[in-house]
Amino acid sequence: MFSSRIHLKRAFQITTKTNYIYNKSLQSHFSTYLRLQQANTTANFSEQHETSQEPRTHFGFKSVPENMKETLVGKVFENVATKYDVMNDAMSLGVHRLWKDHTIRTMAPGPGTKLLDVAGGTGDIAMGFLNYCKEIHGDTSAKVTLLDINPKMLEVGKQRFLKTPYHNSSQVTFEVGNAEDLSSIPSNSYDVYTIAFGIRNCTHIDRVLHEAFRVLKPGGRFMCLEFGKVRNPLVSSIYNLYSFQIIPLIGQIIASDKDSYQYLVESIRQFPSQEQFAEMIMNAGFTIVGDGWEDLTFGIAALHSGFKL
Amino acid sequence: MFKRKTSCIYQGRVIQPIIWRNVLSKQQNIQNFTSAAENLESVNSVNSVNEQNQQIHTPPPTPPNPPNPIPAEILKASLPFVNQYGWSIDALSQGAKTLGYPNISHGLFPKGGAELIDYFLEDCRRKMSHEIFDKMNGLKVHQKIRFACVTRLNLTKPYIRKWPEALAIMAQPNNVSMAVEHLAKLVDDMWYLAGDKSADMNWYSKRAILAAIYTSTELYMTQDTSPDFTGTYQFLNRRLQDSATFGSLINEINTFANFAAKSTIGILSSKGIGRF
Repeated sequence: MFSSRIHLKRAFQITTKTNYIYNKSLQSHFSTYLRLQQANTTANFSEQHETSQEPRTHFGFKSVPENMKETLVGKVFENVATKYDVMNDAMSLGVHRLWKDHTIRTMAPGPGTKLLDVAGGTGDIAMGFLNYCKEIHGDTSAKVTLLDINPKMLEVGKQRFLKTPYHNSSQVTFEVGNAEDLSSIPSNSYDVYTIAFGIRNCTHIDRVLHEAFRVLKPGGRFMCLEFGKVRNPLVSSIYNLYSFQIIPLIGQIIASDKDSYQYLVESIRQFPSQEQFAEMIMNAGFTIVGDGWEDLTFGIAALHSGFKL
Repeated sequence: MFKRKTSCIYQGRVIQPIIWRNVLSKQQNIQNFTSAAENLESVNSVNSVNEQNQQIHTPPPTPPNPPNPIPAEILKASLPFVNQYGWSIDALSQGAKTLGYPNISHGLFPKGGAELIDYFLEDCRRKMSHEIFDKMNGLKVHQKIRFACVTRLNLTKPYIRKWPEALAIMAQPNNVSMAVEHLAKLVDDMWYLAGDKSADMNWYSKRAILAAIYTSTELYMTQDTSPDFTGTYQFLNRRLQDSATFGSLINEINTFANFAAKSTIGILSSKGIGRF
């Protein structure tokens, strides 16, 4: 009887102790959450009140003049270009490979497909696409154009293709260009348009979508792999904790650039939800099937599709 | 992977998931697939619509948004490629190509071959109903059923060598509901057109028995090597014969059970049990 009381007492002590630790870890998490909410409200506020003056947009949780975002994003990617692939693997624990692979498999391109990979950067999608065509259909007539606004990122992609058989073939071409203005590309010229983890960084998403609609052939498919909103509250809390506490840390250690990765996680929060983005795709003229998107890993990423019919 | 089933959002309004027939009937104001029961009156009144109706096909269950007739056209154009490519996205790609769309347009059908099968079954059922509707006069019920079955089997004939593949796809857990729904609608149409007016437990047993007969005959047909599928039709005749025997057996059992129950009550009451 007596000993059991001591046990109880100890148990209480332990629980209070763990509670304290738990609360402490939660506090930092909640402060992130508060910042998050605050940022959302300020973003909305600035949108409402400053339309009359200079148009502003969000850069992470900050509000910046519209014409500055492109330069700022450019800086971010210049900083991380060389470490981009390593960082992707480290942050997502390799899961981003599965997402990209799933994108290609969903696309299931047949022989001779022409792909425009916008914000292609280091060429993950382009490489996966060409490999798929080669391995599934034994096809070497598939073509991909890798377009990126950032010459440094594109340079990394070029270096990567140097080591593959696609180098110096007509299958892959590189182009520096802005997704919001694809004036160098004729209308109705591509079968598929992909943009993986890129549209988030564009200033005007609607312009990007309109350009995509223009360059696609009738029946062509727009595919966008992008971070989404996690709906499961449990997963969402873990995900928030991970992205605000750990990702900038990984960025600091591997790429010695905390701010760029702080921007990354913030920009994910600023991107519209799956439903809103699907609606934007439809407003650009695309036909969507069913919901128009597929959640990947609890909605951490989402694969949106639209057809030009 | 975690997929949310939500309603579609179109121009800011939330639209609940709708089935295709609503989408198309609103858009094109055409008479779409309805069950034979719903169909009969309109067919009766306007016989000339019949030919027109045969051209109209019901598209698969995932509606495009905004509504669009092109996916249905692609499905229709894909059917001729089934014998070469099977019930697969390859056939869909080829179908899209013939209409001048790129081969990746098969992405319009996220379930791939299953949606092609879905379209085919729906299309066949409608064709069957229209084909047999005005040829039923003067036949007995079992002849009508046989006629319906034969007509429907004839529609599967061109694809019979690839039909086992379709059966395999339909047996996949996420497609089973689609397959069962089509079968249920088919046998319901057959019985309705045969003039069945039962409103008791027979309603269910009749449909269940016919479903069993039809599926087994279809299975037999996939392996039938006899000239012009005569073996299949003989098989069908034997099954229908069996069911007739089976039906009368059920009736006899019913009568016997009835008699036994009544006499038991009689005996018990004569012994003074059950009387109050």
